[in-house]
Amino acid sequence: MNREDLLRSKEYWMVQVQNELYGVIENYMKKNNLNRTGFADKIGVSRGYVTQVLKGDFDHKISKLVELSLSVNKAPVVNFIDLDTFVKNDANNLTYEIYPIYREETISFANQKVNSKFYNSYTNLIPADETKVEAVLISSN
Amino acid sequence: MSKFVKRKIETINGKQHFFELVVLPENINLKNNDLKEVKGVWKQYEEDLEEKYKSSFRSLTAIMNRKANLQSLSKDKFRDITPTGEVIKEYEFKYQDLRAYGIKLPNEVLVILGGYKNKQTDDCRQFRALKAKYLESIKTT
Repeated sequence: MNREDLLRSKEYWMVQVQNELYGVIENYMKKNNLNRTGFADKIGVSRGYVTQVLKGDFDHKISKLVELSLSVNKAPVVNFIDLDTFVKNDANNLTYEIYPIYREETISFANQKVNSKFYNSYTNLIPADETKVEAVLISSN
Repeated sequence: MSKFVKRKIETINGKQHFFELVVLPENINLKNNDLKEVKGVWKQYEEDLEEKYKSSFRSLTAIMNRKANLQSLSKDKFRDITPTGEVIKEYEFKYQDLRAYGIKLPNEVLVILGGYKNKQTDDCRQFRALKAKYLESIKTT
């Protein structure tokens, strides 16, 4: 098995999700001074269920994953990244982080809705040529 | 005295490097580039695994990859098994029936043995014997 095989395997991604979930719950329990029983009582599940999650063996429904996440005050932000790109970036030691960015404004231009960031960059570069804006079209009515 | 070299485990990539121990045969001719032909303990472990363990092996590697990236790991998947008084830290990685044993060196983990749940006692003994031989070999070089 090479690195690419690993990154393309189901097992790799299961381990990521299971242990990320473990991490946020473990941190929450420490921060709130809760043991497994206390945490189970707080979120209304059995102690055995919590034990399974803390073993890094969580394999339940998406709704349970979301419930658990919300119960420890975490937003379960999900991102799907093109796998070929991910593998390629990994080979170049590029990893992924989630961070907040400002919501981009969509503005009307030439009777079409375009992304303001692209509009500004394009109009700065090619101020007189409106047709070029079509290349950065986000949506149209 | 046994001779060893370390080889990077290419499937694991992170902030912390993971190496596998390569035990050199006594008759090896290093001038003939024979070293390439000698498999490390991790590669050999993977090749010797029965088909039914291949999926667990991918999970185990993913767990080690998380450790390499200093990411959260369930205590059921990774634990420090260093005996009291021992200076060089010993790690055990677990996934279902599979085990990996390694030691902590500066900014790296050296995998010394791959093992099985039902052979833990024997594997641990073999791991510590190999560890002692390796540490002795680097003391004298």
